[in-house]
Amino acid sequence: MAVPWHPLAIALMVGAVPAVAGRGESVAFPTALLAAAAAFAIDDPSHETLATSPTSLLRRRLHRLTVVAPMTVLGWAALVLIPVAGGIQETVTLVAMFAGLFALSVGFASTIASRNRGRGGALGSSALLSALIVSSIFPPSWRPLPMGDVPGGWGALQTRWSLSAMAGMVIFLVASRDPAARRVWQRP
Amino acid sequence: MSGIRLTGVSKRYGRVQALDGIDLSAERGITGLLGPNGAGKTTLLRVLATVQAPDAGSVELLGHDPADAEQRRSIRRRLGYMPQEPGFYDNFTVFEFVDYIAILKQLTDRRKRHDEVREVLGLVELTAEARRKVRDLSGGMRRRLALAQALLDRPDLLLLDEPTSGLDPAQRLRFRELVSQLPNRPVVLLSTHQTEDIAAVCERVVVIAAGRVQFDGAPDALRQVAVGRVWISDRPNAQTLLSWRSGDGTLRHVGEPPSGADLVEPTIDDAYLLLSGSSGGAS
Amino acid sequence: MNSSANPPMGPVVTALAVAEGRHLLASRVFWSGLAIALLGTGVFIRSALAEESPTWDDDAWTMGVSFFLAAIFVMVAVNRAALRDRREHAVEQHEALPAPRSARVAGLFAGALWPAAVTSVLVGGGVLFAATRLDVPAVSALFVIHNAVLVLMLGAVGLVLATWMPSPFVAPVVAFALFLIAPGETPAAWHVIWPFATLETWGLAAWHIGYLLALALLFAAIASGRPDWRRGQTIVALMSGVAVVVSLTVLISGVCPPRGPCLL
Repeated sequence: MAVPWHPLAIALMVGAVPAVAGRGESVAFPTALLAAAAAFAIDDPSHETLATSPTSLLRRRLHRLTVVAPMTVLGWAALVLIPVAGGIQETVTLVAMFAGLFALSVGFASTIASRNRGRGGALGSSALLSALIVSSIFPPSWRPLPMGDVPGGWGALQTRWSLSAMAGMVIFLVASRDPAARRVWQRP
Repeated sequence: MSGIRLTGVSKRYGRVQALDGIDLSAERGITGLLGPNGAGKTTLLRVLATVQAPDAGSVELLGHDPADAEQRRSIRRRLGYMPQEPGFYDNFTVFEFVDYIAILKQLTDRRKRHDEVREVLGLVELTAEARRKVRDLSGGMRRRLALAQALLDRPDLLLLDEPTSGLDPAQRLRFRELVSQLPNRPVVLLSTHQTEDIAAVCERVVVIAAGRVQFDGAPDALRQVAVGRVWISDRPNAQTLLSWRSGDGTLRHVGEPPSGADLVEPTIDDAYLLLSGSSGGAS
Repeated sequence: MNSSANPPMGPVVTALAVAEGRHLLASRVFWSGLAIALLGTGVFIRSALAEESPTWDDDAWTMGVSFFLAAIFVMVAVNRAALRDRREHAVEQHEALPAPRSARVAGLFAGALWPAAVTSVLVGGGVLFAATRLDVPAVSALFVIHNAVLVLMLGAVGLVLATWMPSPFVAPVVAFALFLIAPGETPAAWHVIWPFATLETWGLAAWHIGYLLALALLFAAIASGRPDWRRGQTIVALMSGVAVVVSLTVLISGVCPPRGPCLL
């Protein structure tokens, strides 16, 4: 299986810069980069060839994610979770944040790949990082993807990131439906 | 105008000897390049297209040495190249894509360049698609688009790698008409697996196998290689190089004659099969 | 039909600049950045209209930041354009064309002038609007030029990244990093590139424009130096490098002391 590893390598190297530069408390930067790098796992150069295989598009994408996700999670744990996490609330929030970003990244990439000959990594990762930028324009209480403190504390952060994770998963599942399948509203 | 002169050209990729001391010269007119997959045809075209330098041997194109930067640029200005797997900018329109290539071919006068773009799009019958995005074109249309960019500015040296693969029969015939009636009669090197195209338009055919020239002559001379070695019978024969059942139910054999077989006129396919050596090589 | 002498590359670069500029303006990435810029300008206009005593210093920073973000998006757009050949597997066929890669880099660099012009016109509109409502220092008019040069410089960064780190992931990563060091509580982090930091005296503002321009030329020269360095590129890189060092020294000595330590 041809999985592009270089985005993950880039994310690990660049994501480690704040820690190396003595700004180890930086959480959003490495988390966002690693999640964005995961978008490239969706890129499948054999997209057209495998389109007729009995293995469904969803299953093929899940196979690819199964290969990439463990390395991504390990890298994230090494860069963020282990050095930064203190109490249980903080750990849960960090995990929710990573899950939310990861799911959105994969969801965006899947949506784009379905319309772009199997390639969605570049635009999917850009879309995720752009979404973070756009989110930060809103006032803290309205930020859908908060990278810092928001009113409501840990609970609010956990809720928002959990919702983001669910939204990302729904987007991924919808975008990974077999293209030949009849749409829900077309079913007799 | 000088054409192509290759002397002792070799190229190796790791353990694979792609070209092994090729000697080849060509003047104005259409030369067909035949050979099995992996024979070195594409490597040869890449050397001729100045995108790759040989490991050994000398190359002279249109009177210039491609190893020299200025001379290489002179060659490229007079070169049209359609690679085997052309790349396109999917979000450009057909016109924009060819126009972009025309700029890179140093056609900088906007009005003349646009006229030239319209002309080559007309030659490949893509005028009606000029405003369509490249991503919306069919495979055959993309092939014609690749041909259009190669025809820009009436090149003196035209290198075409599998130009007719993916074209429908009418477009293939149209291609033959187009390439045989190019106004300035350039040096054309046509690499293809379509022996009918070779027979139809080429004045000369070069067969390459294992990085070496196996045959160099007129298409009819190539056909003559198989004279007396093609047979038909109604029984199979394990001794022949290759045999297959024709539409009329008889078996056509190339190579050693089976007992009771009748000799028939060979085609270029038969001769090519004999030259390339085995059925495996002709895959 | 062709003549034997090779023509100069200037007209090719000009024609490429027009073609590339049009495509940059049409790119979705550029429009995303423009949307953010317009949003920031909208916030600025709203606050300028709503507040009883709005000030340029307090309120215009949203517009400045949003146009900086738009410039970052231009960087990504230029990077994507420069990586087009690799993405579409068109490298080989374009290598057989007479225009060298350096001409294409120059064309794309000059093409970034288009988004620079468009965003600067919008910046000019914002400054003009502000001038009707607020007490805008005359030197702030230079923000228009600053913005154009900043877009050009970040476009050149996109080119360098595409040339020396040709991965579609690198530019978004750099863009995000630039965003994260955005001004807020620690504006010093942006002193060296963000125009507002020096838009206080004519002298410093002029030095800043020169600095950004020199950086842009330096990056463009480095971007065009692959696959082979030529004498012209070396000269441009050396001269612009010297200009960067000199202007940076002036800026650091002029801006940083009153504001505290600079990051760069």
